[in-house]
Amino acid sequence: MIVVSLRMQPWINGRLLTLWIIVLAIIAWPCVTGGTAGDSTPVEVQRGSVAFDVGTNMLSLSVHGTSDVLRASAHLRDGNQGLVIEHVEATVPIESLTTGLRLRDEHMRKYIFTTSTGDIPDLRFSGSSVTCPAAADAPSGCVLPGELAVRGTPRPFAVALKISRKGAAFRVTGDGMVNLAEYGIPAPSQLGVKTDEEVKVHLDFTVRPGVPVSTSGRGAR
Amino acid sequence: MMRARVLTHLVVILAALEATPVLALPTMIRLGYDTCVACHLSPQGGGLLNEYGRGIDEAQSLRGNEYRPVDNELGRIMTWHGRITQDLRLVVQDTRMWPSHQQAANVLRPRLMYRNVTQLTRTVRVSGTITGETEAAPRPARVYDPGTPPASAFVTTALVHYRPGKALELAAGRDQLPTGINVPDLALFIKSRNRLGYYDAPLQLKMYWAGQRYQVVPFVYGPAGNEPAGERESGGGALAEFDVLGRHRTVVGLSALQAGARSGGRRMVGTYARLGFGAWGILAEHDVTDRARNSPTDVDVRQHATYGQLFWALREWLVVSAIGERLSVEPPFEERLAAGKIEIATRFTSFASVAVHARVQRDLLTGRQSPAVGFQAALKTVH
Repeated sequence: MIVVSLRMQPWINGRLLTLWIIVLAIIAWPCVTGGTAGDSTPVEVQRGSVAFDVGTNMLSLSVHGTSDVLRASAHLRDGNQGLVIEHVEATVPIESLTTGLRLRDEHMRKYIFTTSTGDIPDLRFSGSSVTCPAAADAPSGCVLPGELAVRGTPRPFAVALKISRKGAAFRVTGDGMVNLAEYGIPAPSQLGVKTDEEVKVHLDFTVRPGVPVSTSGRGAR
Repeated sequence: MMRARVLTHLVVILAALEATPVLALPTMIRLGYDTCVACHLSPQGGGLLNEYGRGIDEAQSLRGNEYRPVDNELGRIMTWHGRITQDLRLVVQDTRMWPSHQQAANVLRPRLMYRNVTQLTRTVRVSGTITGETEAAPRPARVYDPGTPPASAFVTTALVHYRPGKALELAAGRDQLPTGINVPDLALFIKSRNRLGYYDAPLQLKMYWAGQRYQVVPFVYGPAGNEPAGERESGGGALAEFDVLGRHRTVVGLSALQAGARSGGRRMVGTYARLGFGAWGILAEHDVTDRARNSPTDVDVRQHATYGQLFWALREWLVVSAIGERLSVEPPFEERLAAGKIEIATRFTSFASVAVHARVQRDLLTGRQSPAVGFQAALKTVH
């Protein structure tokens, strides 16, 4: 019936077609881009920590370090296909990373994080956007691509995220792998014990919609 | 009267045994050191440190410096170009106790040790420890478990080690038998009541087989020759432990031992845990020992020994521990003992450490208490 009607009134046909295309484009665009039905909301890290774990040439010895000072900001919005994460910026001050041994921490800062000019820039992560599919009664999972800067040198770095809602807040955990060789950093060695080049990184933080400011995690050290 | 005298002797013996340092050792699990082999030359722990261990030893001291190995001609000669690791270690313990039923007593016990590990080939090394002392510290002697006679000079360890790879080591010779949480305090019920005293160093063959998350230690042993007649024990056993969460900080294990001698045999099974959480951690062990004696009379005895330690590293060089112990022996040799101890261990430098403790032991059958305080200073040469 519609076909007939359009044939009978060509000028209406052209206008309607244009209108339909615009409406369809508006409806379809979020689906194509994984976009949102709502506005994006800036979030801040409420409580956050970063941990790393690196093996050594000793059979049962690995080095484990943590920082409770994760500063991060991002934009979140609910999309039709899940939670959309955008504009992720995160930093970890190097002096907040500790392994439990003061001297080992000094070695870590010196051999891993100090530039040739003697500076110790923060660890900095910049993430692009990703949609984390919503799953009923289970954490959403997705991989957030981005760049991690060590010694101020950015390299591609992807974090496998798991996000679960807790009321208005989101609990986020993430895992990634840093390869020191990609940054041109030799694996540190001390008195016969040498660390591996691959360092496992684990993130754990809670975000809550709020003001887009950078805040520290569990408090200053 | 007789029982009171025996109790007094026991208290003095325990005081003499007490106050071995808790520095590092199993408490290092808090930093992910779940086995001893990362820092010690012997996978059983104790004894001399390897180069990395000496670095950690220095790093964890109040001084907190970098460890720099001696690198001069004399040092190279003394160490046979790095093949010999050796030191002299002096440990002075002073303990004062006030048993509720007896006069106060004081025990001063200096000990001097010479320790040597010589690497003969890439895979073979020999190790030995000779201890000299002026005050004996035998473990408590019981009717069902006589003590081993003390000696003023004693070969604590004499072993040949074969390590074909990182995951495997075989050792043969005389040494203390492998134990669960492996704390060094020989006065603990889990040690002193299970033939793990200063003078118990049976001949043995043991194997350390380790993976990323496990360690298995089977062993067989025979008498060293210094045991009383009828108590020359032969047997075997094993430890098996597993890192539960995979970060070298949550180790649980099982131990088993079966042995026999002319005067009777014993069978021991135990479970233990070493848990580390950064600045603090928990060490725990529970052992059940069944003894079947045929001399002086036929009798079966069951014993339970429990140990728990909560430790907290206030500083890297300062570790505080709260320790609880319990011992129960079933009739006809019934005993019910409980003990609590607070210990503060400090490491000033890699060659000087001091520990102080306060301990109260209570006999749950008689209600008698034996409070004690102790001090220990340990000095060693470091090269």
